[in-house]
Amino acid sequence: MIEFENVTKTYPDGTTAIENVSFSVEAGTTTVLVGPSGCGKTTTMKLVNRLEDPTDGTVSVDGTDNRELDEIDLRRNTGYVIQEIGLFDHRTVGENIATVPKLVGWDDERIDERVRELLDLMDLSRGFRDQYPSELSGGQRQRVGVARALAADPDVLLMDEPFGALDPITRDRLQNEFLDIQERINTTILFVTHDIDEALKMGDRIAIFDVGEVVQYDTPQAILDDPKNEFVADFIGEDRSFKRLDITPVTEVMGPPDGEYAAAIDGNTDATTATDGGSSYDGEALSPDDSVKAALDRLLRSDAPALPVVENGEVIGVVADEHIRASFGRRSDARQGAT
Amino acid sequence: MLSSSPAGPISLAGGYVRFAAENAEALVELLVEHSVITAETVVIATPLAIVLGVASTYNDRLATVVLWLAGIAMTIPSLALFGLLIPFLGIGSPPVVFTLVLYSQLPVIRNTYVGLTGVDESITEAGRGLGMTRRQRLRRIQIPIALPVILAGVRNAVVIVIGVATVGAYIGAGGFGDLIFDGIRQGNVEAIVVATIAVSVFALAVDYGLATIEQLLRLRNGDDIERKTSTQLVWRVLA
Repeated sequence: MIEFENVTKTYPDGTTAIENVSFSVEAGTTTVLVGPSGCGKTTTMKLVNRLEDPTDGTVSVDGTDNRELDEIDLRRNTGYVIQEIGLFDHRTVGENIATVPKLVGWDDERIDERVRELLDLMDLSRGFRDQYPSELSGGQRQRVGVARALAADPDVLLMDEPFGALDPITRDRLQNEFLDIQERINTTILFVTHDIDEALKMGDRIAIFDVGEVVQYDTPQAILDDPKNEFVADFIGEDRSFKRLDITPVTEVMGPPDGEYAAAIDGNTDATTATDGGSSYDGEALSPDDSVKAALDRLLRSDAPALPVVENGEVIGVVADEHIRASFGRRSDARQGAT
Repeated sequence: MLSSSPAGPISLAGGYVRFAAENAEALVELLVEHSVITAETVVIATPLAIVLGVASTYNDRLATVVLWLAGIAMTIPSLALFGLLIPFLGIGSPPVVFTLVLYSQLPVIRNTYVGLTGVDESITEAGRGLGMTRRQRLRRIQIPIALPVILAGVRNAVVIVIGVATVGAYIGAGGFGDLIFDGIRQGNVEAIVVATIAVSVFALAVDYGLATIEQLLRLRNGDDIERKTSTQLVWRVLA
């Protein structure tokens, strides 16, 4: 768990990066710091592994003020990924990944095994191990960057716009993969981005920054439901409902499988699922992991009035227009009331 | 007059070749002497300059002073330095090597400084974030990455050293300079020309060899460069 308590950071030249920021990141969750450039989100992240020290207030990791910790040890226990990746070009991929384990003195056998494990985890072929970073594509390089950050199994992982320099397709793929990995590694992640869509997609919680302060700190759903002020609303953009569709799983809106739509979904359960990429439309059944956006997309393309949600071959629910509308209706009312 | 006899330059060149052939053994001996002076200088000068270059990256003011002094050292005429050093170091190669070490400092210090400070900031930032100490970053990241640039400085220095070492023969250090001074005393143009060509060829050969190593280091660092034939050859053998 990471806690920021009334943290202020002023640089020697007098500029204040962040002022009186307080929030806490629960262990094992992903918190995204998002905001326009120059809002202090990167500085906030760097306070965690003491690449910067606060002028005022405390940053504590698992209850200990991190200024009481040795900064070198702290950094070795904290994974760090940056947009520019910063791979050591004169070292092989394997050596890059092994950086921290080597620094903390693991034996060769353990390092060897860990490197192999991480190549598999990051979906990199083992042949890359002895290649040099310059021979890899941008996406592969960032995979190596993430592997290097995870090598010594850190409790905390800091990611500063990790996918920012990648093309949209690669970025999307890496985001999806990383969501998968995130579930497996149980690490507390602090993720910095200026892209609200990425924040909504990756974060369990989101801290929205505006020049040096946290304007709203909440779950993606809550932020979309109820932006605290105009800045947040502007930052999220016009298509708020649409974004909600994208991050809401169908399981949250679906109706019971034995209701009025039972006939419509009969015999329609063995089809493949639509992924977020939305490229497979062989069948019409949805998987519980699908977003409501994917469900709506399929409904629009399909003749059927409703689609089944199938888990392990069993229909666990059904989604029709009215379910989607019902779960969003309350929110659109609330919004009309507010304006 | 030169153009009137087409055989002129050819017979001239023939004379040099004959001279070189007749004195082959002596030339080899001079080459060895010249090489030893050069090698001694490089072995002493390079570590010293790298240490000074590394130290300069820690402190801007120190960098200014060090580069300024190294620049001044290069402006002192070699003969004057020899004269000043003979009372302390005697004649022969010691004062010459001392002088050459001084002359080598500027290119190597400068390139070490430029090489180390020129390492892509994201790479040192990553090293810092991963928990490398300053010394570890220097040893494991900055120096290896800066190595081709540092070597370019050494190349630069070696060419200067090989040239200036010739003057060292004046105070008994040996090398190709001996032949040049003999030639001057005896009015033997062939000796002067052959020795001069030998010095140049020697310098070019060493420079080419070091340039190849520099390119190999660049390739290992992942730089995309146009490869020399020799680099291509060695790279393929290594791969």
